[in-house]
Amino acid sequence: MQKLQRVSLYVDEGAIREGVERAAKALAPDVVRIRFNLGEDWTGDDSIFFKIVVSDKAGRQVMNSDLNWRVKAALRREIEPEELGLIDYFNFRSVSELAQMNEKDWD
Amino acid sequence: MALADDLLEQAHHLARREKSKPRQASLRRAISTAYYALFHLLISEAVLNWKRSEHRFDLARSFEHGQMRAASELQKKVLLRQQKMADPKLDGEDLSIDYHLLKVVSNFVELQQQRHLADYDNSRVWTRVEALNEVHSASEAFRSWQIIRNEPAAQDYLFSLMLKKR
Repeated sequence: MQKLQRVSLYVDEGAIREGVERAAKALAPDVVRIRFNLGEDWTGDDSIFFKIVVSDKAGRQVMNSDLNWRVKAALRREIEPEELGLIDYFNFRSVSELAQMNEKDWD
Repeated sequence: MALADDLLEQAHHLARREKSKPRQASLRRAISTAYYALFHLLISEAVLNWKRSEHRFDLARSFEHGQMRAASELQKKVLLRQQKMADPKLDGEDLSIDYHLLKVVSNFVELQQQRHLADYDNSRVWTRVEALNEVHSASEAFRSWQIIRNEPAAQDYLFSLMLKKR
């Protein structure tokens, strides 16, 4: 259990991780993996930030596919962030983009 | 609605600039511009409801980012709960309106957060896919809005963007 900055909010990270894994599996092969972290958004509201790694092929087609919305729908179905009092945010990067960066949060 | 459309086109352009190595400035401006495209689309649609056209520009200036986010987030919560309670076998017109409205409000909240990071957090590195994805979110919100803009639920949402919490 992780205690967020807001005292009243406790989130079971293990349960979230399991839901994220299920969503990632369902979205393969377009989605390679999904990570997340908990924090606050720019207004100070408790939030969950999903980091979605997509295949290079899916990354090239991002403007012409419904992957963006399919990912959001799948994660919302599995995690139900609004029921946890969390606002959900989604970031997408491709495998080859990540290979050029050194960002442990996304590994 | 011309300004909103122009901004969206500009966001597309910025997200695709520099074919091999995109500059951070281009990607940041693409994300920020995508947000402002949707921001101005919603405001321009809201003020159209004001009968006296000479007042619309002043009225448009009264909209606030924070209030619009709060109204959108509230609407998003309501729609997600309704979606969960809805019979999955239903595929009616109401479900379709909710689906498109959820796209608009959800993408607005997300774009505003990303715009804040893109404009103010210089430690954040953006990638092309991230920028294209945010521009795509704005485009999708535009498309959905065109489908539902005259629906009562969409008009109620526009009205809520103006209301301050008391």
